[in-house]
Amino acid sequence: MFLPWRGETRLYLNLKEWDGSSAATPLGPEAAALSRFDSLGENCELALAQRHYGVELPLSLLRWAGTTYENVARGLECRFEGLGDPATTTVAWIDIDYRIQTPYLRLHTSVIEPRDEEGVAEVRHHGCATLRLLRRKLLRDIADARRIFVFKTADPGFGLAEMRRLKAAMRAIGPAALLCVTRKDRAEACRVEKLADGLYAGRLERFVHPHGPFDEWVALCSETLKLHWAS
Amino acid sequence: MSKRRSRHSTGPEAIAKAVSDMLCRVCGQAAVALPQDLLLAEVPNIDSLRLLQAIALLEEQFSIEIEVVALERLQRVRDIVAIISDALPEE
Repeated sequence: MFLPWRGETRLYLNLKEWDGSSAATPLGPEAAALSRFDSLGENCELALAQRHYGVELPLSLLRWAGTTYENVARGLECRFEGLGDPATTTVAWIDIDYRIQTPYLRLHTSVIEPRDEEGVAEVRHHGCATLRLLRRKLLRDIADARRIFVFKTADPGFGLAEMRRLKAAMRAIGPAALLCVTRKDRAEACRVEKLADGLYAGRLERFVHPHGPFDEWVALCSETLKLHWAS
Repeated sequence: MSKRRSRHSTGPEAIAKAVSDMLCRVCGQAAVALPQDLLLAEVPNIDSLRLLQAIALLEEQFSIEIEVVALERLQRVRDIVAIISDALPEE
């Protein structure tokens, strides 16, 4: 998940002075488009598309997390109050690793071997501290509006009212734009519609978590950027 | 950003040691003194979650809150030392 350094060429030219910066490394067109977006849920499909094209951003709260529309909306409306509180955070071993469960989201951990009671308490302690930091980062990212946030869902009940609720909740925090992605048939795939200032509805023909191909994501994000920059 | 008095020594060397120890700890490595100019991507066993976890635990250790926009610019071990130092109250 960690950002790989991509400054090799610059290092070669300025070996002693250049510290390396992924931000300064030219990105391909697909990566350049995808790097302007960050996930708000429901799962990590956008993050996988970004990784596929070499985009590794600093970790954000919902990039690799699992959640639902209702939990994200509720979380945004209360600024994820209480996230990282040990009283509402549990840890459970699921299949291959420990997962952190909160009222808003579920998060993988890096702990892939069973632990004793003391070890599980440490996993929870580390998870709570990390969630509190990620909560502050998300609120700041929405306020800074450097990236467009993406909420993707296959829920057939997710419509215009739900998109507007998410956007209103975000707007109370900051001006970042929101792209809501749902699934439609081929005729409407990769189409983006501007619903309001900073609110876009996009359609994909297929959700491809976890293996891709991710070409539809590139097309969708590129189209969204065109609309966003034109407004 | 809130700045509270740390329970720990906050000299540059102490911060550097704390950062090095914490990175090794969250990455499941024996504590070693990581070079300050070491790229974070080259810390053994590191990933983005472990990196944020280390910073979150350092916030607890020093009783500080770092400026989160700085997370976008982290490249090397010394960058973490710098954001910790910046968040500490001046003695």
